[in-house]
Amino acid sequence: MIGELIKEVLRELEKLGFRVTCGAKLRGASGYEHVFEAVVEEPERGVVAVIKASERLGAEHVLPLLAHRIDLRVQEVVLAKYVESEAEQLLEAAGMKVLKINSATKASDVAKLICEVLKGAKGLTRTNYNLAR
Amino acid sequence: MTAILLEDCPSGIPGFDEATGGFYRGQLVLVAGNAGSGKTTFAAKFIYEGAKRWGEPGLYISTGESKEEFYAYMARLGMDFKALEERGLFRYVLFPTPTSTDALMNLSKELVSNAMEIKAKRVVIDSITPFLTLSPPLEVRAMLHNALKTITRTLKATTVLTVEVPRGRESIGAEVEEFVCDALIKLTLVVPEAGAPYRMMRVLKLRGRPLSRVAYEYEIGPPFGIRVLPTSLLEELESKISRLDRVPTGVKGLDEMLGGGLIRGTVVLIEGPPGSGKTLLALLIAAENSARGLETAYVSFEEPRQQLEETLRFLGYKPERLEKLSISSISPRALTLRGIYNVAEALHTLDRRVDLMILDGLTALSREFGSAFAQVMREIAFSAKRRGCTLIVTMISGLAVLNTIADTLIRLRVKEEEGELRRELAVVKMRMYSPEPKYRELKLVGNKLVVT
Repeated sequence: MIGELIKEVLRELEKLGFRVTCGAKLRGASGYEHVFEAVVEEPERGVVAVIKASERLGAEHVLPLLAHRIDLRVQEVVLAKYVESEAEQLLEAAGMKVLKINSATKASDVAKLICEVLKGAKGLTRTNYNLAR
Repeated sequence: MTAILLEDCPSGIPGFDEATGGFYRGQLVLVAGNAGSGKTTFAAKFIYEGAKRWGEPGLYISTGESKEEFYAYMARLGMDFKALEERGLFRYVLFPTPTSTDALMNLSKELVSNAMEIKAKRVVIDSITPFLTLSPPLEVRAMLHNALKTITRTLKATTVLTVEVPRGRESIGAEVEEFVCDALIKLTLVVPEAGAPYRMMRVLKLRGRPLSRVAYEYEIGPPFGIRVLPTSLLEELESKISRLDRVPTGVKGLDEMLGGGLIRGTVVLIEGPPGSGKTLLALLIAAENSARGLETAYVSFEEPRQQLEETLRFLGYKPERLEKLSISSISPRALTLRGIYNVAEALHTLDRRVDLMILDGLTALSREFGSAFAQVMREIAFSAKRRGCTLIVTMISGLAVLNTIADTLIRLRVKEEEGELRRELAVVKMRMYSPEPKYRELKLVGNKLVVT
């Protein structure tokens, strides 16, 4: 199941030194609270990424995901088992990272990939976000 | 820093690109307006011209009318979307009226999958108003716009969104759109207290182009669908006038004075005092030419249609047999200045091309509207010339501007000689020809007008 794999990925991220909050809400510039599978923090940079996960990533998800990104201005990583190429193309063009996962995927590999993506990511400090758990 | 190359994306709307410079590829354009202002026609024309003239596939997402209704309405405005669809250049998506927050996901699906499938270069969402009412916080609206902007930039598709502005309200949406969109166009249907409505367009924002604060008048109707009317009288006139191409008047003697008849596509002013025979002459020219197969429109601002038909019978014609002649009578009190122009334009565009247009009794209009009337007459005259239509106008004494615009001036007068009234006629001015500089008698012989 994808859910189990996600949990494993998050654990791997913690091992790499990130603080991971599952099921966290993040308030955007609009005042709207967005819910994510996980919010990834780093001691120095604050929130460096939000993680969205779903079985399938399709065209219908593009507009809402872009709306998150614009409201939060934080690196968004989307993990999905089935990915429509058009959705992937549009989201990546907008600066989001789409990772395809399946039962054969190793959680540590995914965590390393996320770590790579986050290397240059600009963080949200405590002063410009409101994290509710 | 990398320089961004802006690629032009003309709207294709006649008059709009000339006036504003047009859009750039990938821009998000918001067209706001009240009901009946022509938002849908603007958006449709943008898609239609893109596909037809530049081969750019277009996607139209509508929250309103069915595809059949849309196709039928647009066909009447001169836009054949069915043909474009058959060529794979157009796709129409009817989006059910959004009632839940899932609407955003559904819109996303329709927009992304269809736009990418047909490789859309032009996209329309008509309208976004129902989506905006689903999102209570003002900021969420801004998010939606931003998301749409990101999508359209990525697709490199120029996107037009329409939004409803309630009548009487000046602001657009929640006033966030103007910051997010690259272009903001406000359309207004102005309904005056009396007379015909007219439409005004203001371009409030157009990123990358110098903005003029001019309010543009525009009109909706076939064959253009929508077009922005020129604001300048210095517009270059287009015409295909040949001095050898003549429209005979049918009046014996007059054609000789004119060197063979009126020059096709020119403006003719017939002026003279009451009773000098202006209407008689104009009616006869109309009847003769319609009988010869010219599409002829005769509009009187002084006499009822039935009376004009009786005059035709007096002249020996059977009006019911003159299939190419349409006679209408309009009371000046029922018109606005704008309405006068609309009447003249509608004659051209309703299912036929008018070859000869006669506007009889302009004195009444001149009296009603004063000097501003001259401006409308100038527009009507220019429009007729562009179309190659011969325009004849009659009035008691010509406005200075009409004397200038007119290519041919036929002056009538009534003289009293030994207790008898004598009608006379002279061709005072005729461009592209040198008429004989003298008056000749105009008289009825039996029921025929002749110049001797």
